[in-house]
Amino acid sequence: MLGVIVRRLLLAAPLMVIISLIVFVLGSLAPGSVAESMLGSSATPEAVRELNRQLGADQPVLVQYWSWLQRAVAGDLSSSIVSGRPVTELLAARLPVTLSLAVGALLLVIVIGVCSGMVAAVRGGFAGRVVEVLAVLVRGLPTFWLAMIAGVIFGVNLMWVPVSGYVPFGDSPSDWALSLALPVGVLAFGEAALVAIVTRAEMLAAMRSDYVRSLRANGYPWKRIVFKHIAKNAAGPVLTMISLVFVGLLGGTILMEQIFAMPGLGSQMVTSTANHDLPVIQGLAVFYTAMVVVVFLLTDVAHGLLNPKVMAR
Amino acid sequence: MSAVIEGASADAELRAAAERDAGFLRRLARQPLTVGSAAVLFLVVLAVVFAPLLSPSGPMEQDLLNIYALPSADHLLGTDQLGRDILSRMLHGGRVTLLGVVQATTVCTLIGMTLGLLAGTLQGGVEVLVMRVCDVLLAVPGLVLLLVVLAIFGQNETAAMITLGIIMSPTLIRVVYSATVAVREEPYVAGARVAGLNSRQIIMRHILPAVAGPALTQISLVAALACLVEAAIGFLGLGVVPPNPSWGNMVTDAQQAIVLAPWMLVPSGGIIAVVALSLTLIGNGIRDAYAGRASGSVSAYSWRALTPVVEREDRRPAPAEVKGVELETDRPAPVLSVKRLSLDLPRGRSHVRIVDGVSFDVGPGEALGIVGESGCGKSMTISGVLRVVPMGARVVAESIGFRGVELTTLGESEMNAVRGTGIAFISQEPISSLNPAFTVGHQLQEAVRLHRGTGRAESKAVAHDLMSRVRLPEAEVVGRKYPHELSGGMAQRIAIARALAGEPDLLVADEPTTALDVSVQAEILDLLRDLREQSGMALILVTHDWGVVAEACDRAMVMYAGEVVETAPVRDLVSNPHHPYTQALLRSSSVGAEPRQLLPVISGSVPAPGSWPTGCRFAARCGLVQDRCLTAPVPLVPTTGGVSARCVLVPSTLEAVR
Amino acid sequence: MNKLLLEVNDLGVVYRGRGRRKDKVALDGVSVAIGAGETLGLVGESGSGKSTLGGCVLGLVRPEHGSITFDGRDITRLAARDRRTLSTQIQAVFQDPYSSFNPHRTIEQTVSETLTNLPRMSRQDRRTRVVAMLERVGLDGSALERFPAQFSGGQRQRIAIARALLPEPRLVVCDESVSALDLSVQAQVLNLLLELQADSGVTYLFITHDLSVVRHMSTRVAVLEHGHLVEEGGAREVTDHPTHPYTRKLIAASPGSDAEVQEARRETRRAMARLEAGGTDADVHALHALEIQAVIEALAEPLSGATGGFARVLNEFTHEPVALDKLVRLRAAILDLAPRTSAAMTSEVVNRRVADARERLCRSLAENDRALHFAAQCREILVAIDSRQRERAVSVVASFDDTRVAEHRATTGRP
Repeated sequence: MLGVIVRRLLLAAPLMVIISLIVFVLGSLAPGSVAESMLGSSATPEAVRELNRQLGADQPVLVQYWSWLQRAVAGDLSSSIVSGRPVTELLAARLPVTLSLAVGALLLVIVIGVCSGMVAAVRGGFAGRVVEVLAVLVRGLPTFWLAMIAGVIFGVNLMWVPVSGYVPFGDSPSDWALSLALPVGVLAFGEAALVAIVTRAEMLAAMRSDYVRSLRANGYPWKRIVFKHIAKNAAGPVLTMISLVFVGLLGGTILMEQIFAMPGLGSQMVTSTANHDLPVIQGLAVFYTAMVVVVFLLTDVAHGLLNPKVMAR
Repeated sequence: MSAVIEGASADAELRAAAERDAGFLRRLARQPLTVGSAAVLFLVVLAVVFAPLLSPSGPMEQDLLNIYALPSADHLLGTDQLGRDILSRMLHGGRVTLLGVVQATTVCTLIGMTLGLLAGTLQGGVEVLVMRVCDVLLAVPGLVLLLVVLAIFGQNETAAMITLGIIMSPTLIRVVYSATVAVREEPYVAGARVAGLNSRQIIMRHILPAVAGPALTQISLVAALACLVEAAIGFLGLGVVPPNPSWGNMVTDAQQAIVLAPWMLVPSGGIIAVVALSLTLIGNGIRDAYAGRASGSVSAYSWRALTPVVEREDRRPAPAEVKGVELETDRPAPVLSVKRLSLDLPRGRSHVRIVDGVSFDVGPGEALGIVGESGCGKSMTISGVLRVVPMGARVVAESIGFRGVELTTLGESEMNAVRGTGIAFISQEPISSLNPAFTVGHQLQEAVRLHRGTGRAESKAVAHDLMSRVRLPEAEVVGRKYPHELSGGMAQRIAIARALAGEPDLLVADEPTTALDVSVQAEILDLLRDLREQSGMALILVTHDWGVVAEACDRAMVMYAGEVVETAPVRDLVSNPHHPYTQALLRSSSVGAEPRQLLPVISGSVPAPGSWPTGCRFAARCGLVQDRCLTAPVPLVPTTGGVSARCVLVPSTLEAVR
Repeated sequence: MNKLLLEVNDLGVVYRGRGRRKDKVALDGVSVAIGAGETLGLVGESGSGKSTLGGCVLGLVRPEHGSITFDGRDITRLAARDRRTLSTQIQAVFQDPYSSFNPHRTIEQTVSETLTNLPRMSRQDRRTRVVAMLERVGLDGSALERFPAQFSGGQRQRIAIARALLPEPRLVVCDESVSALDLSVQAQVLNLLLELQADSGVTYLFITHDLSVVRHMSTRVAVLEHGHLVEEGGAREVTDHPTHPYTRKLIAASPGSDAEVQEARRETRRAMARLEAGGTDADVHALHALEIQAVIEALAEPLSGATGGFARVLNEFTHEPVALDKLVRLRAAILDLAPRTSAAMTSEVVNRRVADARERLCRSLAENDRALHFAAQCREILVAIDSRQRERAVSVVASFDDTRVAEHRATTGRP
């Protein structure tokens, strides 16, 4: 087990480096320079060149990247060129919002997706059809549009939840939960369908397998077969799907933060994109990737625990 | 897949496969949902392409006196906050979105197909490299990278959509790759190489057609996703700069007017939904058409649907059968007594009979062999007894008596109690009949706990005892292994031990040695015999191998086309078969035949279920056929010495027919 | 042997393990040869390397060392282009009739694939040739436009044979070609293969795990075990008078259809198991089981020369006094009535104990003046075997040691 974790960690590090390098190189391709952005269009070429020299932007890309990487490892992701605040500070301030959204939605996705997938597989008939139709529908509907409709219904008409804004957990846990309800619900609704489809398909495949036939023929109660024998075998692909769904959820948080006016990493990302605030964008991109890597690592570990063949490899 | 595919399942598969070959496009055209989606999509694309001609007014034309208008004859979809015609804006805005979809999908398809096929066919370093790159790309949060690109390239749509294509490619690469690998391992590809085809020919003829279905499915989904993402970018205000319309920024407009004019949400988001949904549905349609099934037909499959319909048939038995029962009164009361068991499997909307009125008894401690060729219904017979049948099956029987209990009247849970403790089962593929996710020791102990209600420690002791009974040495070591770490023979021993956990009176073994080597087969058959002698357990052994029957059984029942044609003690059956089918089959064996001389064969093949003749079902292949064989069903009639045969040439049958 | 067509020399194949999996030696120094128009049967259990050998001949598996010569030409490591040209001369029929066809291609497309490397011919010629071949295997032109799924397993295997024989190859590798087929269909396909060979003089490399099939089909047989060649020779020779213990074990384990033989073999196996467990008197029981089995086997499937050896020993047995060793030799010769099976069932250790029991029983026979009586019994068995009187022979052999009680007393020293 430990071996799997260590090996995965060793793979995760180069992954981070590659992603940050891609982002950095892309950034260097951008027309204009950081100094131009900082000084505005009225700046003299001399001033721009001087600032670039000070910032090290006149160096080759790889050299710049190397110094950025060194600082990043030490915990310094440089500063915003718009506000001048350190990127790490921005991250720290906005992380709780995004994390609440993403983790909340992920948990909801797992609960809804796995349960409805199982129900569809076990009961079949109408329940199965509902899951199948919903899955298609949900994949075809734009989440941001759904979010707004949900906002109109639950926020404006029914007034069950606030239409926008975010209340920190520390201020009021109940308001925190209420402020998350809509965005988390909408996010999870979309992605849960994917998990449900995979859960159902995997369980149905297991039901046709030889070992399930043997268990049935030897008088195992159906609950034991479904919840123990089939569940453990179906869990692997479902886990993989969940980790992929998490990547989608992170993208979704950007939209949700925008729609529900929540001060998270995503809304920062959108603002910085509009402002060409490269250091912030780079820092955020790397940080998002890091979150994905952590989730992938966790699913890999879970995989190892579930599937003896993975361990054997 | 097992070497010998039994009965109806094989038939169903054949049928499914035949349908698959009826033409992919034709099947696609038969799906109303897919055709409808394609039509809608086509109309939308046409309308968007000819937007300047079709739109009632210019996309920027303002009418400040008529803002937030609801749909009317002038403005079919109403107006927005500046009084602009929503329909016109939608048609013009779609040009950007659809162009973006085409760009992203094209890039994704090019990368996905090329790399997927390369990785799948070249193997080695390329394979590893491509799959690693995929892993990396999959870990990139797509929207985040898109925003990075938009920031860097100054909100350039084309750059964003190309990036999107790249980000979405790993899934397609994986789909193409795994489809390629699946085909690459197919024996027919090896066959093509042996036939002398070069790599290009193999890819064009064998690999691409197999990859096309999954790839097309994935590409439609990619297009749907591209549509949604493009709209999302527009919605975030990072794509097309207002006041130029795009589907995304029209939703933004609607959002700002959400309280004043909720109607605006409907057309703006609706068009995105319509396009994305159509693409998704087309993808699903392609998938279903490719898999050779009607749209959505899998949804009928579920755990609940596995429970069969069991009917008890109250019917006056025919005189011949009454006589049969009476004649066998000298034998002790049977453990299992099956009377007129039939099993129907669903085919399309109707059912087709697979097993037809099979009756047999198994005495205490007796070993009954059920022999026959593929498709004769021998496996389905025991499935019917155990009620573990393919989905949608119908079991009809006059009576299935087990230890004096009538099984046909039992509910599913009562029946489940009989399985395992009364009747146990072992299957053909020893390794796959064990759950791959648990150690065999755990599975064995679970069976003991379940069937004997013992505690943890005692279960472990019993499990060890069972393992020594099936002659598995080093119970501790073997118990810690997973099924895939065992040899076929060891796995079958574990399966037998698991079946013994409930101390059953009857063990049902479905081709238990077919997948094993001959030397292992002998060991397993010896083991079954010894266990039977030790515990007095009866055995039903289903097999197509006459050697196995001779080796392991006391009595054998020969099945042909869903019915029993002969029952006899094994020795008599082999040395003096009564039914022409049994005779011909035994003669056609190469065992003991004169080497390199032609064998006496039975011409033709077993008639498929659903196309059985009225008369003797073997008549068409029988060398001794007479007119009376063809007219009416031939009863199974007992002769002397516990032999029964279903043939008009057997003397006692002659009498019965008269 | 006819003129050599295929010669496999010192062939070795190693499957390289990936990651932590170890390398696996699939073939180790295997040499076999086939004459033109003959059939070499390749037998072995799973993991014996028999299919690997076929793969090497077909160019699907790359050998580590050794050479394969086809018609005097080294084809071990051919370039892809040359290999393709060779495909008109070496063809194959694989095991699974279900997966060896591309389900999306018609029978015509599939069958004519093997004509790819022949000189270009018109569509019409090609079709005529395919139809003629299909008719030869018992199908007709209506099959051309159909798909594999519309045919049964046996029909598909016929199509596979048609496809393989279409370019008129000189060698066809049949890899478990009939293993997945039912008995009646199997017989049809075996007949077809034999007929085609008689017609065209094609050579078969016939790979199978089924001894009776290999015996039926082959002119020569090679037995593989764990990648090693353990025995090779004429088909009859190897299957009737196997010399290697593994071959004997295979024969003893493969079920025949004769119930009595089965029972006799089973009795032997169980007696051996008891002997190994060390039961009292177990060695005597084991010897009896072996003797009865030998006689039953000799009656069920008489082997040329098997009774001859026994008769020769018996003929030396004419006048008194009888030397003990002679008696022991006679009694041992009973087992030679079924040399390929009874010997296979005894391990070295067990064999020694059985021999001890035999000597003990013979000494008792001699001491009780029953040596000549024993010889008479043996003669009776011989007669019974020659005249196919199974019951008589078995009853005699079962009464060998009627004196078993006395014998028992003698050995244990109790009254």
